[in-house]
Amino acid sequence: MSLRRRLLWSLGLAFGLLWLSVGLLMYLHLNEQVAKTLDQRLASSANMVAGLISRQPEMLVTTNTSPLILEPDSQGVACQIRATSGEVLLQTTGARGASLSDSRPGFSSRQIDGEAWRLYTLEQDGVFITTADRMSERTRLENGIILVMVVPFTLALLGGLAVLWWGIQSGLRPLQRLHDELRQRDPLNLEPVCITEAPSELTPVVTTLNGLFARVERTVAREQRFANDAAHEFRTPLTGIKTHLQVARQVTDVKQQRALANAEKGVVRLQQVTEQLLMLARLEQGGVWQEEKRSCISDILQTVLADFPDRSRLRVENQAAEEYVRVPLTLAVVALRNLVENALKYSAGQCAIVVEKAGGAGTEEAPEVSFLVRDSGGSEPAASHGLGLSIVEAVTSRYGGSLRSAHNETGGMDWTLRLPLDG
Amino acid sequence: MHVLLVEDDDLVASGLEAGLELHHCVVDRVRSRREAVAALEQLASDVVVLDLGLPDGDGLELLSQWRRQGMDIPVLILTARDAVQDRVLGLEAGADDYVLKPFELDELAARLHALVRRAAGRSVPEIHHGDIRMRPSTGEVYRAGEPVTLSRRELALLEKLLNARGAVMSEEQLKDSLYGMDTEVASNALNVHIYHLRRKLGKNLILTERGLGYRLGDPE
Repeated sequence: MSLRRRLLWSLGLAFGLLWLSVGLLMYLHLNEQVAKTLDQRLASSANMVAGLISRQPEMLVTTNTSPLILEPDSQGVACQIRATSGEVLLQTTGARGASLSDSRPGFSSRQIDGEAWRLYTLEQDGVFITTADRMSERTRLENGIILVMVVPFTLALLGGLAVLWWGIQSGLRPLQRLHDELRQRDPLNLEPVCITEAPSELTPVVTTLNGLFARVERTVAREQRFANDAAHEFRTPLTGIKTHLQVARQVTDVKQQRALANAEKGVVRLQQVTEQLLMLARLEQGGVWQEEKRSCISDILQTVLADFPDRSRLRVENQAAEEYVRVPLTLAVVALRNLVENALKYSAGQCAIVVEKAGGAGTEEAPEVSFLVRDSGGSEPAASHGLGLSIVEAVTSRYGGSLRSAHNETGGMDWTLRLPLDG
Repeated sequence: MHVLLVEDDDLVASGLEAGLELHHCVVDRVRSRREAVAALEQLASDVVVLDLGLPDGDGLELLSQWRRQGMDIPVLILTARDAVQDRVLGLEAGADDYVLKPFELDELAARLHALVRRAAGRSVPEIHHGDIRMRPSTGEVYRAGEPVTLSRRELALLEKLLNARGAVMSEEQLKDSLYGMDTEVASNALNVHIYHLRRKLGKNLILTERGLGYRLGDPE
């Protein structure tokens, strides 16, 4: 059920019930008051007759055989005055008058000629004065009151419901606009949502939604970049292998041997890329590393440097040889080696590796080991570093380290890898 | 046909150089955008093979820059970027063809020859000049219906002159087509090739324009 329908139903129902309850209470109260007032009128009439008799007692001296004294215009009222003996001294006209006999003092109801009557009997100075009126008259009066009450009440109720509907419609219009905008939106569209005249309650929703869109867009772009890098890393050695094999098929002797040797180089590169990608996949899936969770700095450096037989362009400064980091040796080595490899690839001159302790006591930072890989530039700056940096970032993300890059004064780049210190 | 190869990866570049030379191309390779700009300013290349992921910037920007400068040399993009959007961007930036890595060497060579042929205003793969018939993609040359064997450089020289359609080509332009950036070329090397072509295909095939260069003679 839509929010609008739910609001309309719940508020409409509550509104209607409330008004009907109030109406019912008012009706019951009014009914009671009318009955009381009419009873009082009966009693007042009896008192008025009693007052008249006390002033003119001769009224009760009957000379005629007929006790008729009154012929009221209204057929709905009757009156009878009796002696304590039961003799009717005076009464209104018609058979109904006679039917008022035997009434006890006070209010009572009685059926006379198939009609309901309300009676009041007053005893005073040895006579009983009974006044009566038809219940049908009372009912007519009550119906009139109901009609007078119900019509404006119903109109007010319907008007109230209409106002409620309009209020909900206009109140929910920004929400409807958001709904329309999102429903008509292309799933690939990550542009921010723009809702004109959005109420303050909706602003956080739109802001959060737009923030989410922006994050998704950044993630998609990063994934796209990674996919492009991975495609490049795979296709380049594959192209080399395929091209050299095609050449090898068409040449002989030394040229063929050279082409085959080049194809083999491509196979080695392809193997490295595959291994890096598999490692990245394991890292991102949170796979368990079956080796000690800490590694010694001197071991890391030693293993990394073993991969670079020509160290003429490498300078190493290790100020934390005995320290340990909370990263398995394989991953720490891969991360550092990728940085060193990039530094050598994208710079023409010397590269430096400086290892030292960072953060810890006296600082707000956690104790870490910092690996600064500095290249001196001089070559073309790198547009892309392929999978290497993705792996470094995956390692830092998993083990709580960080990777920062900055241009240095030589025109090259400083890559600072920080890994958490163990112990 | 002289090919300027813009490729930063040594393994791919060496394969391409060796492969295209088998298809009668003279290949010069550069590694970066900066080197490509310099090479194209100096050399009279017939076609460019351009990788997009260059170490000093995007190949697409380089291509756009060339097109803005009015360079109409045919360019074939050779890249690992396989998204349709990338291909569209490449062609819209001014590329004449877009080939994905890895590729078939024969197909790549055929595409390059087709690009050069189209740039020379020809729609058929054969060039006719009098009784001489040449098919650049296969390196086949016939004179009066008889096959004639030419070396790779002689083929390149003949193709350059045939594509020039009688226009005068300077010695430098012809040397670029034959040797590219190879500076270790004997001073009379071009004359030797011209001599051989005249001997094999007729002495009036190539005319010398003193102080200017050479041009194709009228068909016999």
